This record gives sequence, structure tokens and C-alpha cells, in this order.
Amino acid sequence: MTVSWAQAIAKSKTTKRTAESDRELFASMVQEHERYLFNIAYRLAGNREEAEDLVQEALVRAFRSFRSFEPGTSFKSWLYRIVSNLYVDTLRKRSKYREESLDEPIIYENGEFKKSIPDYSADPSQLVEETGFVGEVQKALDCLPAEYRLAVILCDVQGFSYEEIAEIMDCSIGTVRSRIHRGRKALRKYLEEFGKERNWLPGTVQ
Amino acid sequence: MNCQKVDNLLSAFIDREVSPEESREIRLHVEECDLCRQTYLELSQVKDALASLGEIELPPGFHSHLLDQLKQAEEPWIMRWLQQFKPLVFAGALGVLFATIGLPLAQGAKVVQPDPLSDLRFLISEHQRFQQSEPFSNSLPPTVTNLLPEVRYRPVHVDDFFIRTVSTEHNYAQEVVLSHHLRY
Ligand SMILES: [Zn+2]
Repeated sequence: MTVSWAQAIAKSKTTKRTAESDRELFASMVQEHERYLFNIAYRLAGNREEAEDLVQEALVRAFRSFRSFEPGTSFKSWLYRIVSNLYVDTLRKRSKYREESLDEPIIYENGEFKKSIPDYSADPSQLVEETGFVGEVQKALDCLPAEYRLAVILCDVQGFSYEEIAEIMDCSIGTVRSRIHRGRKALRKYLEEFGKERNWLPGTVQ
Repeated sequence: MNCQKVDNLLSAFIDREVSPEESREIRLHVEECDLCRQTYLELSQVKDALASLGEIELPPGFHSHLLDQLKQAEEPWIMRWLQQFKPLVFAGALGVLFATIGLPLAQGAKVVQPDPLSDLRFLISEHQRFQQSEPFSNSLPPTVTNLLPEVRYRPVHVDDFFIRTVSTEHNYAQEVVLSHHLRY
């Protein structure tokens, strides 16, 4: 059963709220989003296990602040924002990503990111599960700084508009535009590097 | 439009996130300029590559796992217990106010030291500050948890009405009032 936020508010005002009814209401409201949230998390994390942990933890957080959710904002954007924030926070906490801050210049003049391609042998949890072309794309995504990766995934994998992404990422549309643009340019460079031997990019002009 | 300006807008152009006028100008430029056309094609390929990533199925048991997690994440019993007594808790808060300020004043006595209300004000402001910095956290700020035992075990003056209504289980008014503020 799918419950809109308006219905949920109406229901919560007319019926006596118990811990159980709150839980059921929340669970029914998030059910239709679970698969999309999991797919975003999967593309962000690169593997199922981390993706599942990320979404489960984010949904528990969302549930805890469920009562303070402001009606009038989009429930969907709100959910995606919690997943996104948790993801960016988690990455920031890992020391190897510490240099990734948007406050610092992270891009060289030629559009290349300062960050080098991660060494997957160092951290088994970072292993990309997919193989072939899809695996290469996932690996390229993993090289992007968190905010760029997020913007590109929301746009190209999930098909959100710039306005929706700005809402989810809590930034301006101009910032969304530049993150997507720089993100794609960097992806292009990584894919070219990975695919040099395989020569999978047909449009590449040498 | 020059190359620099076109380049900056190319991704937005691909995503149809530019104005109709910009779109027209960019299209004209890309038709004429080899360099920008090349960039346009490359960026389009990246977008296509990302869009071609397949959808991943939810792990089995995802939803039931979530339900378990939500059950575990429920509020501590004291919060749930207090929820049933909202009006009583309010009465309790009034009782504390009366006991700490009203009674001593009425009896012409000095206000008892230390002032429990100032503790409460501090705890509440700490909690609000913490909530702003960590909106999704369900835990108490460390400054509050450090103070809690002291608050809990320091008896305060309460009036009869308060004791009757809030029961012996919560005969420390501060804890009740504090919980009330923390929760609502
Ligand atoms: Zn040009």
C-alpha cells in the first residue's frame, strides 16, 4: 500500500498514534522508494553489502526524524537527502577521502581531479562487483569525489531534474550544473584510461 | 557564444536544462565548431554509459530487515510512557515552576540554591543546539548526558499536586520536565 504524505498527516491527526502505528505508516510510505534508494546507494558504494547497510541506516535515521518531517516538502526528496547526507558523511569519515572537500580546489585547470585512481587492493570492501563495461563505469564513478558522484548518479542513473537534485543536495542549480559537468568530464577521462587496452569507446578520437 | 561559454553549458544542454535561446545558440555553435562538437559527443557518451547501467534488485528480505531495524530504533520506554501523560507532564512542569519560584516567594523564603530551572534552561538550550548541528541524531548531547545523573538524583521541591499526578516513579520533577522538553 502506498500512502502519500498528505494522507499520512491526515491519518496521524485523526487516529491515535502508537509506536506501532507510526512504524507501520513509515514502512508503508518508504516501501515504494526502497528499490530506488538501494540502486542509488549501490552506484554510490559500488557493492551490495555497503549499499544495503547505507540504505537501512538512512531509513532508520529518517524514521527517527519522521515526526519532525515538514509537510509541504517532498517526502521523496527528503528520503533521498538523508541517504545522500549519510553517504557523504560516511565517505568524509574515512581518512583516505579526507582531502575531498568542496571548499578546497579539487580540480586542475585541465579538468582532471587531483585524486588518483583508488587502489582497490587496499580495501576489499571497495571491490567492484560487476565486470566488463559496467564494472569499468562503476570503477570510474568510484574515482569521483562524493558530491560529484552523487550529482551524476542522481541525474544520469536515476533521471532526476537539476531542480530535484538541488533540493536533495541542498545546493543551488548552478552548483548542480557544474558538479554534473565536471563529474562527466572526469568520468570521461577515467573511462578513457581504463578502456585504453579494450578500446571500448567508439567515438574516441586519438 | 564563445567556446568557453558553450563548453560550460554542454552538460546542461544535453540534459535539456538550458533555456530555449541558449539551446538554439549552443546547437548552432556545436554544428560549426569541431572542438565543442567533440566534447558534446564525449559527454553524451558518458551520459549514455551511465544510463545503460542496469537496475539492481533489492536484496532478499530487505523490507523485513528494515522492519526489525525500525523496531529496535524505537524510542526508549520513558519517552513512550511520557507520551501518554502529556497533560500531566505539563501540569508537572507548572508544579515545578510553582515549587521553585511561587512557593518560596509566597513563604517569603529565599529561592533554593542551586536553581533547578537554570539547569533545565541550560539542558534545553544544549539540546536545541545539538539538534541543529545533528538533526538526525536521536541521542542526547554529551553535555546533557554528563549532567543527567546529577539532575536525576538531586531532589527538588515539588508540591502535592505534582506528586499525586506524576506518580512515584517520576518524583524527580526535573527529569520529567527535561524529558518533556527533550521530546516535544
Ligand atoms: Zn567551440
